[in-house]
Amino acid sequence: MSEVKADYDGAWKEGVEQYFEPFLAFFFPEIQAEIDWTRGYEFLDQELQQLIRESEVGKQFVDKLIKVWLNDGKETWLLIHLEIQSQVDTGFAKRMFSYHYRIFDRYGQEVVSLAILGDSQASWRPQEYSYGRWGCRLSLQFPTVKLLDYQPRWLELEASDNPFAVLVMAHLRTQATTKDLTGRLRWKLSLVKRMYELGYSRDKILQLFDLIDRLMALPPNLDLNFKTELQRFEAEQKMRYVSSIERLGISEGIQQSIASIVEARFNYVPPELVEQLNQIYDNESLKRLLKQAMTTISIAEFQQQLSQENTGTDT
Amino acid sequence: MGNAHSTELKQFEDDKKMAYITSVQRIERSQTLQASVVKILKTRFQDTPSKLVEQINQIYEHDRLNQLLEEAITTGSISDFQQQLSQENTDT
Repeated sequence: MSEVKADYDGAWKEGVEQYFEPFLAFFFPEIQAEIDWTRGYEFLDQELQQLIRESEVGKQFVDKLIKVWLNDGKETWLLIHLEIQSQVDTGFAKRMFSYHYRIFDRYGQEVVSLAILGDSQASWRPQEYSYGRWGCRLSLQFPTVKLLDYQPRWLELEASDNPFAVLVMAHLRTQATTKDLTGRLRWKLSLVKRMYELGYSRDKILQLFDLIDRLMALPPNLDLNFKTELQRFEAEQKMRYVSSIERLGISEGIQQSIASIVEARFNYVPPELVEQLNQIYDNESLKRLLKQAMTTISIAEFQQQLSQENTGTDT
Repeated sequence: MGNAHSTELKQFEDDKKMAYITSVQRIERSQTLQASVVKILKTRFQDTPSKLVEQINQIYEHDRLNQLLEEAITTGSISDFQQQLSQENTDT
């Protein structure tokens, strides 16, 4: 039985990268209002990478450092810290300070540190790191958003067309269903279907579907239910968005089958052959090739058949 | 299972991992691989028990299906294949 693991990190990272302005508009509207969006913004992934110590890599949090310009023309850096893990992390406030200071020290930049707390413990609300003695005092305060606080504001989330309303709903429902995967399936279907009913564009649905799908992970038998149900729904609505891209899965399955067959039969697959195979997404061609892979007498012959299909279906 | 894959095949799979693969694509891929295994068996051996087909259709893991594909091609008989399949079932 394969393990079901919700990819909280991946979903949030992707979400912030794709929808940075909506992210601030949703969680920190007062900040969003002061940024001059016409000047664009810049993710400083490399600058941030250089400050992260070896021991901190792969921990369950996501940081994003972003350069923005304010309405008054000033440049400012934002450090967004997404704390995803479900247990309380005692080193959290200190780490907020360390990162803040490291950026200040290394780049001489004023930074605004923000935190999103995605854990499930209502009482855990760090907002400050400080120490002091004998009249010396240091303190860093940072604004935080607790995702759990959106739970009683569900109707508000449903009414919002910000992508993060969807992501927060998916996050909370994923957390609430770690031991009720059938329940998770129901929520996943309802969150996804809702986007069609609200009239979201095809692109927006596909992008948000990726995020919901990363979060609301299911075991294969329930994935199958999800797929079947969504296909039916899309056919009814005559909006075949997810169904149209899932054909890729079929193509890739056949490509992989062909490569395995050739490998098993001749103990070797030339890399060019795999590359060529990779470019075929016409499932009828692939099915023909699958048959030929089983019956062909040599790699050379198969290579020839492959080239024929490739030129025949050039797009 | 690694040794059954050539490095090229691994590379081919790694390339595909770059973009996020949705659950829907993943499950389609599993179903396609299942169908390929069954197709090979049916082509090679006329009598493929429906119970065996059912069993194959319960497997979703891509690596494992890939392995079954290779076994379907190299196996000497249906009963050999069946044996390999049930061995794997108890293994994992």
